[in-house]
Amino acid sequence: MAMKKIFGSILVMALMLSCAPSVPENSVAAGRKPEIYPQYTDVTIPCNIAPLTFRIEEDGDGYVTRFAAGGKELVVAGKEVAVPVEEWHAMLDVANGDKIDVELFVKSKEEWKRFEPFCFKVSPDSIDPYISYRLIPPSYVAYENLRICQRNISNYDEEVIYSNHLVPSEPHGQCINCHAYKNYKTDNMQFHARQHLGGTVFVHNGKAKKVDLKTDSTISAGVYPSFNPKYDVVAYSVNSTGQVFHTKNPNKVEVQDKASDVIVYNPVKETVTHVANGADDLEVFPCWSADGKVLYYCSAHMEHLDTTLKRESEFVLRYKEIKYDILSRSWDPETGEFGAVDTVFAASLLGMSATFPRVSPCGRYMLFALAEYGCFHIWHKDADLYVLDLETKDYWPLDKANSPFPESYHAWSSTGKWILFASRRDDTNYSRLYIAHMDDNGVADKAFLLPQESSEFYDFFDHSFNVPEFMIEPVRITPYEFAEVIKGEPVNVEYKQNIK
Amino acid sequence: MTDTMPNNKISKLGGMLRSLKTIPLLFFVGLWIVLSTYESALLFRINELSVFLFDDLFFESMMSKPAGFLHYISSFFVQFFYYPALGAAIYVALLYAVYKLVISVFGLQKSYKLLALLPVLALLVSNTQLGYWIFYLKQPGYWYMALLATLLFLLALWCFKRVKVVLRMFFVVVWVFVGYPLLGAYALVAAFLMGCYDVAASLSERKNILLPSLTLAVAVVAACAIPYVYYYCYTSVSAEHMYGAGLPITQWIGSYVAKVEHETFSYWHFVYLYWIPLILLFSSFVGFCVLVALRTKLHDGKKIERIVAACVVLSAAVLVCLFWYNDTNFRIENKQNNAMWECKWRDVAEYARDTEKTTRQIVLNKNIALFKLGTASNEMFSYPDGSSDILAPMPVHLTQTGGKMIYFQYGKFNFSYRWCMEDAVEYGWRIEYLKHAARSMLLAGEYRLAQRYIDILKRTMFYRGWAEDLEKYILDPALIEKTNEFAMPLQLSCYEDALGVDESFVEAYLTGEFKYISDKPTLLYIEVALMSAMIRKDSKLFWYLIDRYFKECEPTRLPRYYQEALLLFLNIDKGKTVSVSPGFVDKFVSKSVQRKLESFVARTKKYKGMKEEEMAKYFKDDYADTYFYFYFFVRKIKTN
Repeated sequence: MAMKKIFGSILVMALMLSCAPSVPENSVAAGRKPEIYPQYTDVTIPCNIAPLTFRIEEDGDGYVTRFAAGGKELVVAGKEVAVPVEEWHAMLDVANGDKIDVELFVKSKEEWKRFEPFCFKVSPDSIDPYISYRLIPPSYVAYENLRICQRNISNYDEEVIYSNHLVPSEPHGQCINCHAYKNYKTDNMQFHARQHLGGTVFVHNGKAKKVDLKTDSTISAGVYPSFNPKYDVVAYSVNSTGQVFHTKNPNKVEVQDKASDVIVYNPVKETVTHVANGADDLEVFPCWSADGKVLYYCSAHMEHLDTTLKRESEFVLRYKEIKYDILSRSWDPETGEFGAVDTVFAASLLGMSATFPRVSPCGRYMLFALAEYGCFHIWHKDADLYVLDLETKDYWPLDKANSPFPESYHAWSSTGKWILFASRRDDTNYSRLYIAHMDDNGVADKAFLLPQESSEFYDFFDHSFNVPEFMIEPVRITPYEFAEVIKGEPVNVEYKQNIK
Repeated sequence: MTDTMPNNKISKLGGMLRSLKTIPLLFFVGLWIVLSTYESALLFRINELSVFLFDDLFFESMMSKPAGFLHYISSFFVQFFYYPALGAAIYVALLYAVYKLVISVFGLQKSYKLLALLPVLALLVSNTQLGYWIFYLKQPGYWYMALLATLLFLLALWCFKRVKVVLRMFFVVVWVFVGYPLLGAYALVAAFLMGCYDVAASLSERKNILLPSLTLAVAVVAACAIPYVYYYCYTSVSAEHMYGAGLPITQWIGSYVAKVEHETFSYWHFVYLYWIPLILLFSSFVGFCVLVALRTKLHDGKKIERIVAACVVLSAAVLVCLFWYNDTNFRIENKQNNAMWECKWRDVAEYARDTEKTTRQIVLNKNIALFKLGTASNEMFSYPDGSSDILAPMPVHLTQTGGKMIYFQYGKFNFSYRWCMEDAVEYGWRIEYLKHAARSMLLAGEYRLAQRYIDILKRTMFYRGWAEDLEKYILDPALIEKTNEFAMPLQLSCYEDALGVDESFVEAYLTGEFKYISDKPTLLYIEVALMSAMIRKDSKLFWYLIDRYFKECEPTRLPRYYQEALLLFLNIDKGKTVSVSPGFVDKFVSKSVQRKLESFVARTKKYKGMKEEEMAKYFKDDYADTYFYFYFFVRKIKTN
């Protein structure tokens, strides 16, 4: 990778020196902003982000782009507008707290057209240097080539944290999912491997082990995790999940739980206990508060009414009636006792379903996805991101960041100044990662697509990005070490009534 | 002069034919003819089940695994099967190159030259044996992988021979180091064979074999150690699979585990069979090394030449007989599939007549063709029907072999698309999946998604035109409804959205789904639903649907099979649940159909007490094209 960078830089410098492009002297105004992909016009970006490579989607024979910030100017020729990493960061440094103006010129029939300039607003709020995500083809039942990756978002470097091909999987497959970190650091983290050699890969104080979180008293092994930011416990949902397919609806699939509860795992004592397991309730998506003393989760009340049908069959027929509220229970770390259930956001009263609550690091705001029904909003076109003020109970949609397509799998940066989420807005099917700036009032700016080295990357890349998470440091355990852990025997947990 | 010319030519030709030299020529020309004619549908399908894109990301994704380069260049060559004759010509030309290189590199003496056909045969039958594996192999370039690896090995061996003996062990190490990421397991085997050759050459020349033996040992050590080093350069392969990179080793072993019990057993179900050609390929090269070692001791002469020729011809005959998957149904399915893309619907239907023991895919394809032609209600049961077993060691599902096309034609766009996605995940994107995905999403109205697949297809060598044709509909969606090709799927998409699961059983799911009729179904939808009820032998549903049919089109006369089903169900019901007005039967059911059922019933009484299978034989000649026969004798239909 280093060699590639060096050669790349030399090549770019050589090209720039040999034929440095210049802005056309004469041009006519196009009278509008240009069409570019990705849609980076007038976005707010962190002062340490990778170059926002884009392509100009205007017909023409020649293309020139001028970047200007604080007296510094950079001119790039070509339809593909890619600024070398070092030059880009030099420009970001100049524009920090201000903006980079971008002006495009397109030559058509011997005449240069000048488009209205747009800008990159450079926020002084830096972003966590690493993110991780799972790369998964947007299939439904099949999984063959899955990997959890980490990306340095100051440049384009991507590394595999773990790939399911690292253990022999034929004829049985292995699914991997739900990576999570404690306090944005990687010495306490986890992800699951399912089916073949399944178990939860749990890194506790830097040491990796495989844990079997399934007990006789719980529905399944752990699924959606949430590390308590202050104490040594992790909340999980346990789910019995199925998939059914739409014959016509563009949402294509419904991922439903026929049963689900919330448990808490103590990685020191290797015990689990229930937090929420109502007989007619589907509890899922746990999330700890910033102080670690409140556990939020989603819950849908769904009674099995028609006993002539199986529970799951009835839920399939009534799928639009499954609506999740956000509830909470306080937790006393001294006694290990949970308090009474409190309703935080009664989405069902609005005829909606709220999922995936994520509390901001400051503890004031809760980010969640809201759609008409169900729990798996990443397949729901109407799913949008909302913010709930936990103090005032006001809530609002992130209008500038949302789109008419699914938004979900959101995460706060460690500073709470940035959010990262998955959206299918590009082609309606493949989820891509978007980053948006959050102000102190919990209002998001226009979101921008995670930059890649080539603007064509997303056109042909056949995996979805999901469950993105911010990290302040990279995962240091190698994929091969994780593979060895997965091949080993799991630690079995014990079910207890109290998680103290 | 003019008299002697033709005679000379004839005698020359006769001489050539008598000469053993013509065997290779006849073999390669004959092979090209067979591949480009008899197997043209297979070759085209192989191209459709592969993909090659002129794109950096595609190259990088291929190279992310050991043997990635071999995958890449093999996929490049496979795409030429788009034109079966051209693809076959390239394939045969490369086989011929192997033949010539073997002779040259191993310095085969005149009498033994024909032995060079043995690796060629092994390479050929490693492909022709595949059958239904073409849908399941996770190696889109499989047809060329062993062939190109062999060619590269022979070229490397040619270089190896020209390197000083003392340097050969370094050559081998470099070969494995460079070759393994490019060629995978083939590079390892090649290194071993280079070592063997070196020992053999020294033995032949009665030189000290210490250094060559050391080279062989180094080759073995390099082949064992270097993949392990590379394990830490890849995250796409497990340590256990490093030595089999480039071979379908895990799938062939995995399929044995997943093997289903078949009612009838064929040696095609024996999973280890598929290894034999590759073992023969390896063995043939070991054999050539032995020949090199024994070069000075071997006799040369006409007699030896004839014996060698006889052995090679016999081996060829045996290998081709044993390893050429010649299942009629498989061939028909491929021919039907190709004809469906070309909208040659009469051909699709007629191909279904070419087999007695048919598969469900053939039947379903034929039904679609008849609906397209508007003759289903008069022709549907006049073709062979049943559900023959699939000759394969692994479970073969219609979802992989033809389900996407069937779902599309029946207006189930989401399901067609779903299986494109599922299979793309499992087996990698292929042309066929991309085409189905683009077309399904176009008709589902999801133009942005359709555009994505169109854009990918535009990066292929031969499907750019197809993609651009489809793109016209995105630019002007009004054209969609005006296009004849889309009329049937659009007419059949008049249903309400519902949630469902097909469990990979396409026909069972479809016939079940057609039970649900929306408020305003099209006439075609009612007819397909009616036929589905007849296939399910569901008389209750039939009565409901025939009533809807009457209301929808007020027929003065019923199509043949509606008449037969109506009369049969009336007879079975005996007025218990259904009654019709006087004169109804005479008005809508022809005398000939009535007479046919009468004679059918009479014959049933005649054979009373006979086993059903035996009875079916006696009815087949006279009634095989009736619904009565289908109702009583086509049973235990297994949808796969």
